Amino acid sequence: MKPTLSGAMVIVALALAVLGGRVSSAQDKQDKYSLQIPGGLAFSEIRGYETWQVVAPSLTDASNVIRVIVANPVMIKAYQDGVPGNGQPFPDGSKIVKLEWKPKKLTDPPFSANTPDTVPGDFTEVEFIVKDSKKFADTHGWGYAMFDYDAASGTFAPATTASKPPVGHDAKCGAACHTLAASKDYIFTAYPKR
Amino acid sequence: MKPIPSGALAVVALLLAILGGGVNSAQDKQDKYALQVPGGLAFSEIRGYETWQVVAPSLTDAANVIRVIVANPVMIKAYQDGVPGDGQPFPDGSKVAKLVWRPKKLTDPPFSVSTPDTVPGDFTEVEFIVKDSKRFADTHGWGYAVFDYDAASGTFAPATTASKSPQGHDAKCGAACHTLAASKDYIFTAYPER
Repeated sequence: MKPTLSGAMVIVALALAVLGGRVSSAQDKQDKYSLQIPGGLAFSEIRGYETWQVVAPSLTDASNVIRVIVANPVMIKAYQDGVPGNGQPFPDGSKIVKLEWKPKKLTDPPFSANTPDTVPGDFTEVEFIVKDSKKFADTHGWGYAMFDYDAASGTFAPATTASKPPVGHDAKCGAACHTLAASKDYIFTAYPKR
Repeated sequence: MKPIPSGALAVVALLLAILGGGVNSAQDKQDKYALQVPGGLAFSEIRGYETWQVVAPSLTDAANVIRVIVANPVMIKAYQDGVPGDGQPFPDGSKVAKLVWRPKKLTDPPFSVSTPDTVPGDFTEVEFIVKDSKRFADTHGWGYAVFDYDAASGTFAPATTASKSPQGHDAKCGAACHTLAASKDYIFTAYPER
C-alpha cells in the first residue's frame, strides 16, 4: 500500500467521525428554536438555556419527574440580591426554565435495588416563565410556556391540553397554579446556598 | 434641632442597605477559597463553580441527599462531544463539582404531605474531582476533595475521616469508590438530553 493512502484514510475516518457526531446530535433533528406555542410564546424566548446557571433541583413523586430549574443571568442576579425574600419582584427580562426528566433508578454498585440513586432518565419537557410586566400584565407580569420532548424521535413540540400538565394555547398555562406562590412573586423555586 | 437634609438621609439609608447586604452575604463569613484539604486539594481549584453549567441532578435515599452535579466548560464540552460514551477520557483540566443538600419536603399547595415536592434544604457539602493525568497518575488522573458546609455558622471546612463521606487528608478520597465507574472514565454522572 502506498503511504499516501493512509493519509487519505485518516481524512475519510475524520470526515466520518465528524458526520457521525453530527447525526447523533439532537440539534440536527430539529431547529427547536423555530417552534412556537400557537397564540403563545416562542421556544427562542429562552435561547441558550442549556448553559444557564442552576437555581435548584427538585423531585416530585406525584408527577413522577426529576427536574433542574435554571435561570438566565438577570434572574440569577435577582435571586442573589435577595429577590423575592426581600419583598422585591423579579425584574423584567427574568427568565426561568424547568428541565424535566422521568426519574431513573440506578441500582449498580455502589447503589442497589434497596438503595438506588435517582437520576434523569428520558427527557420529557421544557417549561419556562418569562417576566415582562407590560406584555403579561394580566398574569402578574409572567408569561408561561411548555414544550414536550419526545425521546423516541428526539424532537420537541408545543404542549397541548392533552399534555401533562395540560396547556392551553396562550401564555397563561402556569398562571393559575403559580398564584399559590403569590407571596414569592409567583415563583415556587427558592435559590439555595451553594 | 435642625431638620436633617433628605439627601443626607438617603445617603445614610443607602450605606445601611449596603452594609446590611454585606453582613447577610455568606461570602463575608469566610474566604472559602482560602481553604485546603491538608495534603490535598484547595477549594480554589473550583473557583467560580457557583456559575458552572449543570450536568444532572440526583437524589440518593440511602445517603439522604439531593444533589446537583455541575462541571466547568472544559468538561461540559467533553460531555457534549460524547465523552465518556465514545471511549475517550475526559481531558486534563476537566472539573466536576457535586453540590449536596439535605432533602426538604415541600407540602404546601400544590403539594401535600402524601405528594410532596423534594427540594434542597440545608446545604451540606461541596465535593469535587479534577483531572490532571500527571499530578494524579496513581488515581487514574483524577484528584478528589470534599468540603463540609455548616449551615449554622455558614462556613466550610475540609472534610475529615469523621465526615460522611469519610475523607482522608489526601486527594484520593473518592478514588476507591469511583473505580466502579472505570468504564466511564471513573465518572458516575451522565449528561442527559436537555
